[in-house]
Amino acid sequence: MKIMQKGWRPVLVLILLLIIWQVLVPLFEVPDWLLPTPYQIGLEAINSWPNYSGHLFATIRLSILGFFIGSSVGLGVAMILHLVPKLRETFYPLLILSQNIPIIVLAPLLVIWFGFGLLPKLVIIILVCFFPITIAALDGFRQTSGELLHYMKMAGADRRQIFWKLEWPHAMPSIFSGLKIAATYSVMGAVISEWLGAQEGIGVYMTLASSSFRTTQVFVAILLIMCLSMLFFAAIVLLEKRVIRWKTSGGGDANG
Amino acid sequence: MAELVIEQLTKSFGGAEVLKELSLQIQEEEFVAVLGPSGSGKSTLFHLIGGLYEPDAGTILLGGENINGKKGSVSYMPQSPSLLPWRTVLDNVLLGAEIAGHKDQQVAVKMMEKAGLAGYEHSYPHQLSGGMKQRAAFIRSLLSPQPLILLDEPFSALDEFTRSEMQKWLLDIWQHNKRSILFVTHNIEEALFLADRILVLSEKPARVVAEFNVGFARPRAQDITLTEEFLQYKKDIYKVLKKAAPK
Repeated sequence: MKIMQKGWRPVLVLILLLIIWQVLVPLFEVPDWLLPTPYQIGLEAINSWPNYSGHLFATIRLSILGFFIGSSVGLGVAMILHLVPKLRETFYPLLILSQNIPIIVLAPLLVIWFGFGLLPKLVIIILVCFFPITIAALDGFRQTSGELLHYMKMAGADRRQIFWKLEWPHAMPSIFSGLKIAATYSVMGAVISEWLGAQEGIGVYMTLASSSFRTTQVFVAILLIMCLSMLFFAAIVLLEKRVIRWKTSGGGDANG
Repeated sequence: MAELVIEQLTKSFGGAEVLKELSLQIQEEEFVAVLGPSGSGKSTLFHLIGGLYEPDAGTILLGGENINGKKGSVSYMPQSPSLLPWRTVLDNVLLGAEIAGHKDQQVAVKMMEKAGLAGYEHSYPHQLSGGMKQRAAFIRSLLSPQPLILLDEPFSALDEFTRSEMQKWLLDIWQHNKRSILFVTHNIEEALFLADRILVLSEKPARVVAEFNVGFARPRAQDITLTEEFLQYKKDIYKVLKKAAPK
């Protein structure tokens, strides 16, 4: 219900933009192969479902698998770096450096190293997924309230208890922020990895469409990617609501 | 036998002496208040007893055992309630016992009932008032198995009305669940109303400069704060404190 109340503004703007697009394209006599109208795209999306459904499910499988491995790697890295401060000091800057390598450049290299199978594709998705989670989780761990930490220490909690009873639950909201970003990135990562050479997937569908100037299908692919990202995002939001029940909308703190 | 014996405790940070040859004792089931000017090293004293730091010299004995630098030997209630926001109140009051390794849910539920928190077992801390949070924090320290409880200005953040309510509540619940208590405060009336004995600390480097035995019979009623005797104590302590504080 809340989404309905808050969501009408962006939806309205979106509809308005689509209407402007729909009106302007015939007005300026833009040819189809350059820019199709939203109506044509919608029609194509409905009519060619049998053509792309296989591609769609391939991408969904790939991104979900990559997302799960990537998030696990991300959380694992964050935990190790947090629990061993020396490692964090050493690897944190390298972690940021790793994100400065453009994936587009890295992708062909991965194909050279690992071939055309599943592995290089997963490596790409993991690379784009793990970073937001690692950074978010690390920040969450480190921003644990000093007051609570002091209490835990005075109460005699050891390092393990402090981590599992205090730092881990405290970092949950941050971790979910990271997961949301990673979930949307995973779709993008999957599509990029499919460009490299795959049997099926939205990336393949898109490459085929663009190389034969079927612009409408390229737009259908874009639409699919957007919907998929939003779906993943929504799934994480739903999960977050189930896991974090203690958060108040008003933002209550430990003191009150 | 004394429960807590601190002898010649000395601690300095970066060359500045915070505690110097501080000695004190707390008997079993005794309620001792520590009064001192602000910044007199009260929290350092607590950190040493809690085992967060090692003292430079001196010993801390609890029940005859040396607990220098040993964490988890005492139970602790901080100035802010420090309840974990993601735990229900029941899970929060069990936290101290959980860290020590043995928790008993039924005892906790009963204790919450006695403390006036019945029905809030499955609420979250942000749903409680300030006084109720402090009650939960005190129950948490009572449910921990350690024989000595450190209370670090627990009511200083509360308004005057809630504060006096909480003092009466604290005495009541302590009367039925006796423990040794070391209570730090900078409120003379609070110390007089609650404690068996009051220790006055000096300005840094801190040591015990005066000791008052508070003779009011227990259980205490609020109106003892209006008696002549109470006022006389207050004057005496005020004089000592004024001397201890910097000019």
